Amino acid sequence: MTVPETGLLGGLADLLVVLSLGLLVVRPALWSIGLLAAQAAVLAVIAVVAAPGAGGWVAAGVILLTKVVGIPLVLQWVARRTGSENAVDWSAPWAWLVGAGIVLVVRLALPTFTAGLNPQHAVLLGTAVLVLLLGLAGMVSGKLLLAQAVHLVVIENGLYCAGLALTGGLPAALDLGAAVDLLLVIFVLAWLSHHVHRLQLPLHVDELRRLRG
Amino acid sequence: MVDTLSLICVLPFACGVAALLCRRAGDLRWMLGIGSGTGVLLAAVACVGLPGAVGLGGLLRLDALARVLLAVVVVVGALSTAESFSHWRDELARGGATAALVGHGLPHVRAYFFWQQAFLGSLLLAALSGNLGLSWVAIELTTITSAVLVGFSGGARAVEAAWKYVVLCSVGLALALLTVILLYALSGGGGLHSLEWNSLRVAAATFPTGPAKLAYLFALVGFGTKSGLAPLHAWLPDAHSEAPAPVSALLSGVLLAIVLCTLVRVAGVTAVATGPAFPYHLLLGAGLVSVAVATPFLVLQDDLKRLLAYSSIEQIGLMAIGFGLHAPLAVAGAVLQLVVHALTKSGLFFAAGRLVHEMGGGQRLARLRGLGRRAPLLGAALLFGVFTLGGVPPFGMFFSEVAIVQGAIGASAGAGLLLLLMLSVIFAGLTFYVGRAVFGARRQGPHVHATATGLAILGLPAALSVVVGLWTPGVVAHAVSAAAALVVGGHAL
Repeated sequence: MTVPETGLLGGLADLLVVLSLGLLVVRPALWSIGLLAAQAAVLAVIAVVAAPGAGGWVAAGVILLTKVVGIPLVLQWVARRTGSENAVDWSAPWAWLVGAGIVLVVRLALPTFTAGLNPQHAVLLGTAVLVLLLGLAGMVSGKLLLAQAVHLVVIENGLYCAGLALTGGLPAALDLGAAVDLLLVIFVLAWLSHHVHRLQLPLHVDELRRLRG
Repeated sequence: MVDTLSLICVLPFACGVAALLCRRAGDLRWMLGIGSGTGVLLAAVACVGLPGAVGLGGLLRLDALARVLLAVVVVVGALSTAESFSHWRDELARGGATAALVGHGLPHVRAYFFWQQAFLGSLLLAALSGNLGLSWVAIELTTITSAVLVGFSGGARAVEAAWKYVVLCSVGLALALLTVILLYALSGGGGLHSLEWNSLRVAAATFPTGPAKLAYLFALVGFGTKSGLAPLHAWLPDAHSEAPAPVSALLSGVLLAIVLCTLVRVAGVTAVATGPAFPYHLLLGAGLVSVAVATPFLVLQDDLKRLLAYSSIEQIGLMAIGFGLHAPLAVAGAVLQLVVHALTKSGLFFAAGRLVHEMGGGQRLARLRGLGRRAPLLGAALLFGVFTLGGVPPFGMFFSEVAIVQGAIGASAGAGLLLLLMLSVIFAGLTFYVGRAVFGARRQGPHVHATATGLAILGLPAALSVVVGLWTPGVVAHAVSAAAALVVGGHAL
């Protein structure tokens, strides 16, 4: 669905979607964390391409620091600490099917909704919707606690794309606030994972059922 | 030159950092006592002397609604800080459920107070925010700081509750970020200041209806999740029941109300673009669903703190109904409900925390029987709180609930009567369980004596709640009606 006028941006947007799909399919946890860092790196390049000027470079810097370096390092630490770095029951086996369905439906329906937009914004908005939905799908199908943390970052990446598409870039203070908040959320999840491991609680989402009613 | 509003927000963060540096428990008590006292004083000065003040380059604004929220945050915050000392004294003495962490002693108490003060600071930031962007960042910050406190005991249930809380609220708030993005795009960009509530209201007159509705739907789901509106409330009973009692008081009495008010502000912006029916009817519906969902859980609940947590869902639902009716009397009722609920629920959580510590045997109401004889003060505090929550005259909630129910009956007789029926069932359920715990056959165990501090901490919210009900002071009445006028009329103070 990439239109020719979008050139590099279209290619990067497609790569972002492919990496989101990969996160639903790839099994060992460390590979998934690597894919997440790669997705953030692509997002940083998109920020520079789509929001030219100082704003784009600042946004790219924030993404590099938080999502390419900070968050993957924390998640890697959690994976090693909890002994789940090679876990293969990352997400439900049907996750890739749902992901493919989402890509198909959105690709078919999107031109209707983005008809009035300029090509660059249309591509970014389509990518944002896809990455957001794939992140939500990953959140629902994720079987490990760590998978939920990874897909939370994917959802936030989709939101960043939506911000670029609809506004040409959010105010820098808001971008920074959102990125720092996300980093802190991941730190809190890492701290909780440490406790889950210490208490020998199940690392699977389905088995956390102590609190009901 | 630091402005007063910024100072009010920064003070708890500074106290939190200072708490980490305290070497002795006595120093901690003095430092936090002075910090809380200064915070209350500054807030009083701001509420009385600086209406409409701005701070942090226009990002903070003390409008009529923010004034009410500020008063609620500082009062419940100061009480929560004071109660936290009793909580930790008991925890350290007992070495029970939280032994794994309490074993570390003072360093962990210092860490607790760091996070508690950071939570308080983020609540103040969210309450005083005059900008949608800052509100979103501050509300996300409340999730982070309070999640650490929910899981602070390190017990299995607390960790599980904290995990659910972070994941569900972060996803919810991610959707709320779409509201920020959409409204920023619709207002034409132009920097952070275009997200100020007043600027958004002005710009909203030119917003196309469809995208404005979409932005509101994302806000309803996102902020609705965080404020515990059903059916997005799954995290709430777990987090509120597993957090330390002084934190539960802040979560239930203050945080939910602040996030609901943010949603109401977004509704105000949306109403300019779409007309009032769309945003306020949806809010009204969410409120009715919340009361309906909470009802069976309140009737069939045996865990004291979960009972209080489900009561929070019901109460936030009632407030949403009041705001959703969008009539002056009903909105004033919702604002008054917010104030009295914060005071009453904090007192109830403090009492529940003390009961769990002093009586032993966990949070099961069946195991707390005979309270009237073993712990008369705590039993009376529980009964008092239940009567207040039930809207029994002359407590403050009688007037607010009458205003909301009257508004609901005025809008739709059937829906109003259904609401009245649900409230009656909830009151019957609450009275039955708590009454059985207070007046039921005495279980074996020592008599629990009240301390002067305990009397003060449990008595103050109760006394304030009675004062608001019996004789609403002029300053409170004015603050409530000004906040209601802001919500209904949309004019900034």
